[in-house]
Amino acid sequence: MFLLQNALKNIWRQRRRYRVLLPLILVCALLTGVFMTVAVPCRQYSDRIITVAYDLTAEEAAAVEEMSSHARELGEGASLIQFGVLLVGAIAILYVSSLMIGERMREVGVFYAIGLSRGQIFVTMFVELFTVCTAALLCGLTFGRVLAVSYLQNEIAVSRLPAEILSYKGNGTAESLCVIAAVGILLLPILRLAVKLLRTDPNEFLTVRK
Amino acid sequence: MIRLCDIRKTYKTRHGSVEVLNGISLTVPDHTLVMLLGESGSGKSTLCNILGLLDTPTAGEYFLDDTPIHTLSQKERTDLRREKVSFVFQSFNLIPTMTAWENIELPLGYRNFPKAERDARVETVLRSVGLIGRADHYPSELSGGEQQRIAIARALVMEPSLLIADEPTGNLDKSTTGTIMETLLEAGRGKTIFMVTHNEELTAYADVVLHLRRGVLE
Repeated sequence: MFLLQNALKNIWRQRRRYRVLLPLILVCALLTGVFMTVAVPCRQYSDRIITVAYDLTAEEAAAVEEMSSHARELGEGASLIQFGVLLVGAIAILYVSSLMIGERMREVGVFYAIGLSRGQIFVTMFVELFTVCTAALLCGLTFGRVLAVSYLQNEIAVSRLPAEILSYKGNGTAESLCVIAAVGILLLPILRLAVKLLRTDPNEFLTVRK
Repeated sequence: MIRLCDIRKTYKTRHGSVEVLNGISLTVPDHTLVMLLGESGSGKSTLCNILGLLDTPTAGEYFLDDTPIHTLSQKERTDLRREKVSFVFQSFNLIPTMTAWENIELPLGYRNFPKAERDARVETVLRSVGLIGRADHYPSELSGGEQQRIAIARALVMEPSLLIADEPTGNLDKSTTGTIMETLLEAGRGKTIFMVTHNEELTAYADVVLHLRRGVLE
């Protein structure tokens, strides 16, 4: 109980250390939320429109073709940007979290010195990092989704996309991959912490502390 | 009681073996303040690390309260260290984002002491180091001497049988050094204190003074 309380209090105590990591995860998650929400229905709409037979007039067919083409461009562009965001985000988050965890090794040394076990130290820092990263990820994805839906509604209003596009939810694969990638990025700081703690022998580390 | 029998420590380097401790034999009764003096590189820190169960000797026997440390596994040594040994460092090593009270309470909390007992123990040690009025202060709001007294309080709150102090007054001026020594003697009463220092004047406080030169006790 004390461990959890201390870990949660640490979020506030260590807030300065999250000045870079927190906004970084937030922005990555927000961009992922935006592009994922745009890419999935647009791609699905443009894929389906080719395969479904329609009984349309020439004018209607041209309008549908224009929307389909616009949706395809949007979907492909959003997917590409989303991939780039995840890639750059992963590298940036790994780098920033490495720096942050490196700075906190002094604190880890003190924890060892006062008799905490490696497991207690890991759980304390895991709870802290997981809470911060999850909160940033969820906020970012939610905001991103809201922004994207607002954008799609605007496109529908100016007749560049069909109204039914908002009902396209995708087949789940693309979204699942995005969520897996996002969670993977979320886990990067935690993995970095685990590796750092596992690679450091407590006694050796405490000797270095002096 | 601490008993060392022919303790040797050799480090292997790229240029061959370096013998840092060369047959240290020593018996320290309980409740003794031992001061260890020696030049840099004489093996003081290595001896402290072995006494504090952070390192193992290459050869020899070490008994802490009749427990044969040299036969224990690393995990057993770590468990024993957590139970019996505390450290005070030259650079205080307080957690800057926690108040003095929180710093002292930390080791108790992680050993699942109930809140009431934690509060009682923290208050007792804070009174013993004379800083009860500074309980809510952060380390940055305390002077060097006060930070070291908080570090001593944190080391003593777990009631260890052995306190290892590695140059605890190294960063402090002369008058603060006196205060710290008095705090150590007063608050650490009933403990075995093993203190490394370069300051010959402090030997006046010691029950036993040891001089280490090139890995050998003189």
